[in-house]
Amino acid sequence: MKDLSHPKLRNACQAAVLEVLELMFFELPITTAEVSSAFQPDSCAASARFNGSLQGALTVAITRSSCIRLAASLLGLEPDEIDAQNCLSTVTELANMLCGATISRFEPEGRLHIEQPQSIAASYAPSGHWLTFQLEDGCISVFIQFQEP
Amino acid sequence: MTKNVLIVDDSPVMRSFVKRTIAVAGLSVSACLEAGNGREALERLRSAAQAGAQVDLILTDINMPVLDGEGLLRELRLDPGLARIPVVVVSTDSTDQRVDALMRLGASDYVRKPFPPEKLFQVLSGLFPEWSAS
Repeated sequence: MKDLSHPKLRNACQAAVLEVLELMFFELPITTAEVSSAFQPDSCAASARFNGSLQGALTVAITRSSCIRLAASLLGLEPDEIDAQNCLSTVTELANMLCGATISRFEPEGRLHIEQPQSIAASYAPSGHWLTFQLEDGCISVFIQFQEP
Repeated sequence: MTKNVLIVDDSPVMRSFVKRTIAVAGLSVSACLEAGNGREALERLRSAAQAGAQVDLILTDINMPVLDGEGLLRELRLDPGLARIPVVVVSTDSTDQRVDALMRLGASDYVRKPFPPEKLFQVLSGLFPEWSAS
């Protein structure tokens, strides 16, 4: 079982988060990533299962204020126009993109199928090694775990 | 020259993002249709054709419920009325093996998510040179 304590996977995940934030949301974290055992409780969370050469799941949790701002950026709306559905759709799409960008870095020659990401209650998010990035008004945390074949 | 575009993605925010990217790039679009999966896309395409408003370009995700992007490509190639519509795949799944398979199924090009807006504009301009000049 591998998780973000594995250096190569952690590097792949870190590069994926930076790429997704910069290309899709035009922003970068304000500090370097930190490995922690938890994420902010007031977060929107989603999980994407993947299979193919590797099997496992990636979970992303993002503080509500940051999720609203990122959803507004993605949709070209003002933050006060963002509703719960927009946040849900944003966090599930984040899980999808982060999963693809992380696994394709970790195993570029492999086969990958990402299942449709599902939103999850923050209380059901897994415990273990989370990689957390501070944003200007909150943070985004990623957890990934897979089983080796 | 204006185009009719169909964006197929199960993520509403991605459909909005792609739609906005096309608008910001200044590409002239007369109708921008949306579908949440491949089956809905086929229904939209056939309805549009019946109404005399042929879709000129399809931008589709791969991993979708009901009918995925590969299934959509297969169905399109079997339908003489829809087989010639260019299809650009926009997806997170960018392994070489997958991209090769999609191109063999008839995809015109592939854009890996996440992408900068310029990348999508570059691909669309390659498909429709007259579009970038409009």
